[in-house]
Amino acid sequence: MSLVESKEKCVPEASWVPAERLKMINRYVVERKGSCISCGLCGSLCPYGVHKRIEGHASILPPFDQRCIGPSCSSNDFYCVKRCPTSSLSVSNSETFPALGDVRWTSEMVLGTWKMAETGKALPLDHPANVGACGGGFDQLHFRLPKGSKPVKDHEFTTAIDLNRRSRGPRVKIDLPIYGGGMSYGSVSLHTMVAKARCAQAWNTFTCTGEGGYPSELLPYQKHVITQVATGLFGVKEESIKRAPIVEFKYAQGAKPGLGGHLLYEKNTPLVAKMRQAVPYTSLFSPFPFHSVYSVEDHKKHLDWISSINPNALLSVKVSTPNDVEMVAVGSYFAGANIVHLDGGYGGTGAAPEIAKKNIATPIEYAIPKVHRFLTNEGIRDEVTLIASGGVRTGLDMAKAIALGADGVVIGTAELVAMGCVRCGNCESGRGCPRGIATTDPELMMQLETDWAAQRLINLYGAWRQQLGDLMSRFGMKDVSELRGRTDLLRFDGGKEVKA
Amino acid sequence: MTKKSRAEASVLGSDVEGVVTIDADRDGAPIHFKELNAAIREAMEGGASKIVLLNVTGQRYIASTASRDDLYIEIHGTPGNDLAAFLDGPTIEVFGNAQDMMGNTMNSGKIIVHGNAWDVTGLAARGGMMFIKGSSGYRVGIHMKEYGQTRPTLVIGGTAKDYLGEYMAGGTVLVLGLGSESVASPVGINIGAGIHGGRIFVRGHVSSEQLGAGAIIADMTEEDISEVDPLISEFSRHFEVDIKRDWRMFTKIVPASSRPFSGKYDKTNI
Repeated sequence: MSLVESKEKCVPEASWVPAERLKMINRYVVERKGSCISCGLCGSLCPYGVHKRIEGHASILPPFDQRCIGPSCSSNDFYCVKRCPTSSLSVSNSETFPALGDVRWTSEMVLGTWKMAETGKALPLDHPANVGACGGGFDQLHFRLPKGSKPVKDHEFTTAIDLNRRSRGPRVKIDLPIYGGGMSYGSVSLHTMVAKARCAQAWNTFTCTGEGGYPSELLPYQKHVITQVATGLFGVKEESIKRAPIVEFKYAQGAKPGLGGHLLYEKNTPLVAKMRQAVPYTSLFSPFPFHSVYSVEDHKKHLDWISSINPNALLSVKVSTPNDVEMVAVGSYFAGANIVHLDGGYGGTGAAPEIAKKNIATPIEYAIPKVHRFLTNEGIRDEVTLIASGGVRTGLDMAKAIALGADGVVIGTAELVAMGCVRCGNCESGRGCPRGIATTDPELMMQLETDWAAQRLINLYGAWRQQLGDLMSRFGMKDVSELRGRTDLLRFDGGKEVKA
Repeated sequence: MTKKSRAEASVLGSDVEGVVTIDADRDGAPIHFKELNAAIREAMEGGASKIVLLNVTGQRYIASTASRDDLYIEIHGTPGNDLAAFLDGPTIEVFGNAQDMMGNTMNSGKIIVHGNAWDVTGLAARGGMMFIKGSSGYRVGIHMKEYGQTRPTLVIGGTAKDYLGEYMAGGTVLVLGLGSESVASPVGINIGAGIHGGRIFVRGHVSSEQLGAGAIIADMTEEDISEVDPLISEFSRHFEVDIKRDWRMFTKIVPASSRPFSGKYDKTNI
């Protein structure tokens, strides 16, 4: 990966990485019948480049559906359907498009994420792909954007945040207020993990191993890999703790609070079982809570345990969002955590039981301001890094989370979508993902190429950063820390104000 | 004082070659666990073959990450939580009680406790052996695992409380029930809840009401007897107790399925 030297800092270069399979899914379908005489009129008419002829070729290339603006084009002079001398062209709405998403991850949002992953270019701040349609939370919160926009260059603003705000321990800075969420070896393929790690290295941020052990393929990226200690303690080893710059304690997942990880038997291949030191093709569970931790004091003991093995590691505590989440955050601070990671109720892939997903934990939009305010009142806000996850889908969601009071975000599903996930929600079943992302099947995983996936992730991160920069420049900000806790910049769509 | 000289201060000396004695008590007060563990680590790095810890009073994480097969650690007093976490090879003998989470994620080695070891003993252990002369608390042997030839073994002389072997994924737990002859069962309720691997042997009666979800009672086979018999012999050798081998007294608890709870992911079953 080449790095472009800008004036002040390095930003990884975006490059065009198309997906052969994803280009079939578009908003509109342009069809050209056999009666076409290849006159080339449509090619000279369309300003969007739907119809193209390679120089010297007799026939026109198949239409580029993704560039078409749809039947609403009929009011234009250059509408190809009307002008075609043989009436060979038709434009219609795609049937796949509405079937793609759901209210939280709308079809627009999935396509928008793919586009950013493909090109690395940020979508405009008013693009419909930036918000979902679920009718609550981030989808009802909007920035009060001042009019007018001036483009900002990537070195004109800074998005770096500190992960260690305590007086002791190593200084750790990441260049983006984003790092990759924990997805274990077993739940996702090795290619996916390595791609995430390469992206983390390119952007000087982190990715997380999840709780399925630390594959040796991640060793070249170890300065950018967080290792997780979760209730199953799968693959938790002395050496992996010692090499990790950050150790994350996963107490709960927002997608399924009160439940542990669960790898169904068919995904537990011999390689996964070896990494997790378990019997192949049995279902693997993580116990629901840490049964060794029933209080804040126990929690401190737990953190001290890892500290006694690797005193230089930063400690991150991942908790879900119960009603009294602010007490949990204060307790984590007391126990010595550097990072408090709140996981809201909207995360989760297919591998969370249907009954648990979106039904248990508090939405992250409620939890962030609550914790931010409480920590501020306690006078310890500046000693804790507050990270939010669970339902951060777009660059604007990230900006909203920061405006509500978080320092940064962790993303999981958005990364998978960038790698070509179509959100079919079958991550857990059978041999795993039909797209080769969330699988350990040796055949299925060959569908995903590491370099390709890594560059798409780098593109997505870059696009999000640029969106954040565009937003900050509208408010006249230069540093992402100025945005933190600025709930006054947000407007709630229901007519109610969001109070700080 | 620097960290190093502090550690030296608590080392009583090494009269016999390779034996290091450390007093965990200074002027009537227990030293901090960091100090004690630093002294132990120093002794291990110095090539000690035997480490004797005196007056241990609840110091945590003792011998965690110790990893030499020929090392023997003798502990007098009460070690604190997480004794021998990540243990990989050494033998540890405790002359006293052990607190919670003994043998947390241990890989190999042996822990012998001449007393009780309380809650969550053997948490997620992946190998090695644990012998407890006395009784044990709640959720003991939770999520023990096995892979290939490595398999953890936990032998409890007395009784165990509720949720024994919860989420067990492998390994062997043996409860001998010594001194519990007057009570109905040497184990509590919800035994083996969510168990999907491994086996639990109880010398005494276990009724089906005591079992957790996913656990069933099975018959003892010849193979089981050949596994349990040497464990009893070793237990007798460590603690000098004589145990009658009446295999009819034993109850074996195994998982009903290695793949429980799969139905929770059925997208049509909301």
